[in-house]
Amino acid sequence: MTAGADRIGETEPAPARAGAGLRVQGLSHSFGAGAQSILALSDVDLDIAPGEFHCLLGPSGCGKSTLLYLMGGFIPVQRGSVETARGPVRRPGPDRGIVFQNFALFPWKTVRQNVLYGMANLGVPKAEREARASDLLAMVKLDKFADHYPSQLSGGMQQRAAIARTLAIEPDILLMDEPFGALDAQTRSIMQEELLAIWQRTGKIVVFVTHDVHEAVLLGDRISVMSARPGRIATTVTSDFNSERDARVKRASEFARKVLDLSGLMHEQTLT
Amino acid sequence: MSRADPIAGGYLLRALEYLPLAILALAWEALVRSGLVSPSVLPPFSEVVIEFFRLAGNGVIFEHAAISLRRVVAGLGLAIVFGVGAGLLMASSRPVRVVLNPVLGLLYPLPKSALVPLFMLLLGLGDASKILLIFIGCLLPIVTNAFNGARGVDEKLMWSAANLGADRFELFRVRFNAALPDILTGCRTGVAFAFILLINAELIFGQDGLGYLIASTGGLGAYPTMFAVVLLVVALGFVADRLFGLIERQTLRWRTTA
Repeated sequence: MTAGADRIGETEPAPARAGAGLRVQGLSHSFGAGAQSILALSDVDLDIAPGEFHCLLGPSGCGKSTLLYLMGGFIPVQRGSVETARGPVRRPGPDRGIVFQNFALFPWKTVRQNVLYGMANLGVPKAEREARASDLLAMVKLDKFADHYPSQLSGGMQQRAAIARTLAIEPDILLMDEPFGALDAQTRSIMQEELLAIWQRTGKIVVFVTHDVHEAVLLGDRISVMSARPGRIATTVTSDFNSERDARVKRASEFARKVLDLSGLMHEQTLT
Repeated sequence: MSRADPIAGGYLLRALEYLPLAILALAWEALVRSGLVSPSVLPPFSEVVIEFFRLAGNGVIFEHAAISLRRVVAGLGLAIVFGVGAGLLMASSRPVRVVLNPVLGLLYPLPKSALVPLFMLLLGLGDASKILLIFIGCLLPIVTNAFNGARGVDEKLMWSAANLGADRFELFRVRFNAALPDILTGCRTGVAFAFILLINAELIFGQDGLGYLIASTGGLGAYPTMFAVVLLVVALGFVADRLFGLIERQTLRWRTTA
């Protein structure tokens, strides 16, 4: 499929174009104006297949979060395009749910109210949203903490609440911005397994930003290694752990080899 | 979920809060009784308290207190409504910010009491001039706190709301809720300002109200009476501040839990 200039500006859903996937083409982004301007992303192309778990791996400052925010429509596209099955991305939308590193839960709402919030905005009938919230809270094992405020929960619990809140609006695509970066190693490892389970159950596209090589290898179908200044995708590799991926593979020598390969690659990208 | 603190020592601590006030009252009494300060300048605390109850008995002092409180509530209420509104608008709109910033900049160093004669000429000796003074004086801390609070809201929180289908009104509500701790801080500062400005205005040109009572009794040399009124003003301000603190804790319940 070739990229045509004619697609820009069209608004009607065009499922044939990006498939049910997520396509980034010629995406560049700079912050600031004039001489102070910093090129954060330079000419990024990326094609993510339906149901794919895609990791964006790179050192800090490589623009991986910027790329994610552009996919989410949180910052406006300057050059290039981001397209989903529903057409070009221009603004935030419930088809692309995001989870942030620092949870960004509404602190004045209880866990349940946080989960209900998006569904209420989107007009989900009351009975259905109550039921869906209860299901999700049970799934992320927070049913006993549904009426607690976020400040009463641990970091891992807050992040589970944030994931439930995002899943509640049933997005096609889950954008995750170093979601486990603020958690301790033990909690992170549990959360990784839980996320994999959720992903396998729902079949959503997951775009997962991380600077942790182990995490990327453990989670990703494919991993895009990014380089900094300007941010671009240096290489995209396929993980070999597609079939039976869980925490056990960490012990496998294959896993170790992959981690080493990627670490070398990361190292190169950080230094150059 | 455990509410309040169930420790018995909690009450002891609360009582301890008022200990400095008791010491202050005792020091006052001792200062006058020992002759270090002449009773003709500062009547002893006990005498002031007795005088207070005498005044309370005939009820006049409460008529004046009601008039004063009405002015505080009106001026402060207006300042909260307009101040919070302006602060939030400034945070979300650049043009509003550009227009209002210099006005606030001028208002900041201006001694509000200096406006008293002007307002008196414009609005007369009654309620309106005092309410306007309180309004203007309280506006500043309320606007600046609301503005800073609304500007400081975590961008990711707003993005989350937008992601979860929030429309413009909902986004505004999220920003308001996130800024609420700062907004309430500004309002609480406003409470203190309101009492200061009220007494200021009534002292300078009052026909009624507690400030007027202070000025008129002080002018006659009736110092025990004057200090009894001062004591009432202090007590009212203190109660108002405590009340506001209570509202703050109730509203921000989600923050104080651990």
